Amino acid sequence: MKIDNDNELVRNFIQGDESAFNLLVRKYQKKIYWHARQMLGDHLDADEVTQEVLIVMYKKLHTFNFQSNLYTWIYKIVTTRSLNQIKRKKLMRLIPFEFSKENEIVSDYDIVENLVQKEKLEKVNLALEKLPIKQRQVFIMRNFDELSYEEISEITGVSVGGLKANYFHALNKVMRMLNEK
Amino acid sequence: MKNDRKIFEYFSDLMDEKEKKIFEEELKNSFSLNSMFNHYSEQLDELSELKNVEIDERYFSKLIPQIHKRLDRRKKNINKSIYYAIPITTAVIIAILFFLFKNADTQSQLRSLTDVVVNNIEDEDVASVLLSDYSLENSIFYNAEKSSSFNTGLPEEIEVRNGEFYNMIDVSLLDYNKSDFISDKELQSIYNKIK
Repeated sequence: MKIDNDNELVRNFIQGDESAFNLLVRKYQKKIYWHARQMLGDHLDADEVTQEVLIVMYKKLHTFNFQSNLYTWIYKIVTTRSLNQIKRKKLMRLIPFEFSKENEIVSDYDIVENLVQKEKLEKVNLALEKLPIKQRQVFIMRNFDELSYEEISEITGVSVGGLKANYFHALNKVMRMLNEK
Repeated sequence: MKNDRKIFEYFSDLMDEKEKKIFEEELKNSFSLNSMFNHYSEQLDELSELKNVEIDERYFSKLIPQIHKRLDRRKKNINKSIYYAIPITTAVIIAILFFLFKNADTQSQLRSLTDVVVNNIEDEDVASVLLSDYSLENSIFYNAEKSSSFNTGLPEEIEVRNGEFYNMIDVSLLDYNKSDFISDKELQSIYNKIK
């Protein structure tokens, strides 16, 4: 039912119904944002990636082939864009004076207003930041996005066995880090 | 440590059915394993709950208008670049065509000027100075034209062999003995002059 509804919305949008796109955005915007936020660790980057993903969706929805689920199609875009953003930031940090961590744009605004929750989130982000990208990705998709290994495999192209191994190592490290002191 | 590993393997779904059953049985019987298992389960649940944190909903309500604004801006930029691209491309094409035609025109003018010089000015020095004022190419052309009228090269039918000229044309066709056409009196006079 959910898939049929998505496909119908995509068809309507392709036929020129802009409101169908808005409905799709409303449906997936939080999932997109939170995946990006967990991957990147802060609101500013997550916001940038979320907007990029929605623009790509708007431009490329006509290429959606209706063979896979729309959300796996969207997740593919989100993961690619998030990884690109991580690479971009790493590269920028290599340039000594132009862009160092101190010079990064710091914004006080965050959509998480509750301080206790914000603190928890930051603690998890610190642990996630220390994970290799593939482990971080599978950990976020399993724990926060609640995707099955099969769905993650379809999105990332990694075998289910490989994903299980990555998740095991990620879990081991995150738990150890969270339980330290 | 060993218990940790078992618990994470269980959470990661790395155990087969048989291993799972053994682990679940152990979980029932071992207090320490059970408490550790509960501790990690609670922590994982807490992590999962983070996706339900209270957020500023205004951010998401502004997202759609923001996307449309960005899309409109991009469309306008594309339109703007088209507005600039068309006249610039046209100007470049016109400039290229103008240069090509102008060049061809100049070339033909110079060529006809060279012809005039070649045909009317006998003094080579004067002609080459005059032509080099216009173009080196035409000066070369002039010299080639001039030299063709005083061609000192070997005719095609003459072959050089061992430093001697061999006429490749049928000897019988050649009129060697010019003296046949000169009278005795004239010959005598020539002989006297040479002498």
